[in-house]
Amino acid sequence: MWLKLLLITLVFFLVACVQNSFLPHTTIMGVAPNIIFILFFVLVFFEKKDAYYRGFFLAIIAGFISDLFLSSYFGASIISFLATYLAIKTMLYFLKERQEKYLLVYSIPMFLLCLAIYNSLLYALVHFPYIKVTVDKNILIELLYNTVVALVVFFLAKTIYYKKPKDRQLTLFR
Amino acid sequence: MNVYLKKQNFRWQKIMIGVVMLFFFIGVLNFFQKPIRNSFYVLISPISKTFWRAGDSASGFFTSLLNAKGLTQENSNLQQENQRLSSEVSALQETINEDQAIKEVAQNTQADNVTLAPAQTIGLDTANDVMVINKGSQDGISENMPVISSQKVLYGKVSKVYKNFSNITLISDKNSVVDAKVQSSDTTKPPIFGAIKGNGNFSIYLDLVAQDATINQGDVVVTSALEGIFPKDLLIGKITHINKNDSKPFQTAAIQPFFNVNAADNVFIITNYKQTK
Repeated sequence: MWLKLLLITLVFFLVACVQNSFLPHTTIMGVAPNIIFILFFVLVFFEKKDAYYRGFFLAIIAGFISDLFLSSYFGASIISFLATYLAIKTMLYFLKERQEKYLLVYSIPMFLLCLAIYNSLLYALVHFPYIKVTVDKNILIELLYNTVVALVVFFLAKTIYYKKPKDRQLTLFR
Repeated sequence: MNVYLKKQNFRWQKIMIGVVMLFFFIGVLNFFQKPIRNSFYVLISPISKTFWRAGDSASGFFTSLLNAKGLTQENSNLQQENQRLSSEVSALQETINEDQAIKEVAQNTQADNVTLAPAQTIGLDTANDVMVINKGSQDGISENMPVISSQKVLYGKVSKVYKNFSNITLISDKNSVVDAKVQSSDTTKPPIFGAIKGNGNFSIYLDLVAQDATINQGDVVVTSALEGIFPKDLLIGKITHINKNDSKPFQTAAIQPFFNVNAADNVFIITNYKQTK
């Protein structure tokens, strides 16, 4: 358990380094994908329904590491990630049963909605009280770029989480 | 009180304790903000530099791959521009000769007055247009110092200083405003003043230009030094599109910034310019 949490922390740390040093070179019209958020969303999305403590831990770790790279005060990312975590949990609560087959169909709209919540909240907390509401093409590019990256991560996560257990039974007839 | 209510109360108590602990944790982090961030940057600096170089190489590779088809066209465009510039240079030569003596004195004085501290970029927060450089208070860096490139292109100003690192808020930050002037190709006309505002995502625009002023596509925008933070004549960008609407009090223009964050491995901080803000 503790080893797993430590490993997750290290992964978030590495991802944050990539986010701030490597990804700025891969921007499209000044927009880079938010891989910390993508990783957080995927981990929360695939976690067990009753694993609340782990989810809170993920939100605090992801928020803390994001805050370290932000030029703003500590807490803005932590609060944004916690609020997003609650939003994801609320949405998942209304999903009666997670269906493996149509996972990508409902996970992507959920992802977009959560990204919008996270970005808006973070922007409001960091820039308060100087908040400017602007809707431009960059928002669309940001959502699209993040969705493309998220799709790849989702696909990878799906193959890991839904890996069929090895059938050790002897098969005599097929 | 039945067992269910007791259980509910206990849950609320746990939530309240959790919230209090979280705010206490955030408070402690903010209280020790500078040493925490500085230690963190010291720790990640080698990793960040490696990733930054890797990103730079990867970006160069992909850009050259994507632009391979357009190289012939670009070459032809550059040749045409070169010819145009050569004719402009010869036209300006006469004026330059007349003013050379005065300019030399002014340039030398300016050069003497400006002290530059070189720094390396180790990180970039693309969401907030903030760059992290490897120089801090122990290198003589303080807040509001202007940051430029070797070609005198303005990047922004130092917004936060730690012991070994600093944050640079780029001029493209949404809350950034820089007083600027448009350098017209016709030198006889008086300069046109305006303000460069940030749009986020490394884009900027020109605002507060009087309606009767004539600005053209391709005009270069430089700093005017009116706000007292940036020295004058630092390069900002080139006008790409003009938005003139008679119902509005000012005209605006889209600007293609000269700064390039992907190529900003080395930047320079002007350490001795007057600071009023």
